[in-house]
Amino acid sequence: MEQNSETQRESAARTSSGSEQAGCYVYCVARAGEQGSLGAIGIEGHEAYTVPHKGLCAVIHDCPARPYESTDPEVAGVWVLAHHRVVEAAWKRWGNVLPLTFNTIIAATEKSAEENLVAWLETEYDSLNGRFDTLAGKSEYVVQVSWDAAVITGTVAKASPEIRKLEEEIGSKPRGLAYMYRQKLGKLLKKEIEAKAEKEFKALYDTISRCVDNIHVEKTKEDQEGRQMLMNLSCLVSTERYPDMEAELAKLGNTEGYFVRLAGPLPPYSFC
Amino acid sequence: MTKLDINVNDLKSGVLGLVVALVEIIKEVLRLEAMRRMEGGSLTEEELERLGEALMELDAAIEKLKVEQGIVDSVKAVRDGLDSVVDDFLDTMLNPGRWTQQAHQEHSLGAE
Repeated sequence: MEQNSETQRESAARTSSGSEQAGCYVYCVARAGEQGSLGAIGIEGHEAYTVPHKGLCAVIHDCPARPYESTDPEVAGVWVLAHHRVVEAAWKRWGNVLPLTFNTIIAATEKSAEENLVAWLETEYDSLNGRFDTLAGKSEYVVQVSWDAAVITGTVAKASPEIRKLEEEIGSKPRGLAYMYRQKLGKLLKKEIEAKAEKEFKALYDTISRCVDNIHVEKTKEDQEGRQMLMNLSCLVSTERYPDMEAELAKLGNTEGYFVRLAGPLPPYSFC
Repeated sequence: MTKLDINVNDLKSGVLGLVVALVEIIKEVLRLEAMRRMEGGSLTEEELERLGEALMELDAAIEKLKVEQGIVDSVKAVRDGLDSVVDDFLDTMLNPGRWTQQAHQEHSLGAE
């Protein structure tokens, strides 16, 4: 209940001031000269429509020249999702889009916001076309590889003679000493697991980079209980190379203790 | 005048969580120092046994306190928060590419 009233309040605050400077919220630029509407699918149900310029068009909605701000992460989440949906709709329609960051708003000056937008498209015309050429026929995929901490710890412990010896010794030690030896064992295991993770990361990165067009290493995230994320990649992949990547990931997913998450195709958010 | 609304239980759990998280960090430092001495060979077996016992008792006392006071989650939240601050810092230092991202973010925040 409280969250709804919050949303309404923020929404009302954005639309109530009639004298406010006008602006346009830009979702993405597409390689299409079409003028038209994508429907009321924009942030807060705004109509998303195109502003064409020389074979390109920007997908926008009209708004005050003020960023969308909220202290409630859920409200912001809904806005970001709407942003993504518009970019995705444009991408499905025209195939080649350059998504812009959430909250990209062009303000009116002595000229209207739309005129300023067209001027920007004109200034950036060559650079935008260059980027469209690079991205043609390619999509972004998120590739996340995790491993099962317990399975990997078991494998590492079995493979290391030093760890096995320490494990045997612990059994015959008095309480205090056994505690200290367990700490040593933990440290040793951690070191071995880190070394293995580094080796695996390099091998995986090499394998994946051979079947994608571009690759960005993102920060690893918290995974579900018991799993540790080894790598989090954004990959730019052409339609022809996608089956190679999928096959490599399927092979890895069948290895004991490994989990692979593949999300996409997505518009090329990380590569514009 | 703004009324300060304080839930006494939340405050207790927050402050106690912070204190116990700090005690845990100090315990970690002690443990690492003990390990360093053990690996350096400067302690006799007897000294190691006593040190191990002491650390073990400290572990048990902290765990008991956390359960009794119902602050297991708040201690974890403080530790996770500190971990993520350190992770972010290291991530930025080790990946110069992020400096540009951060500069852009700060710039756009400043522009707003």
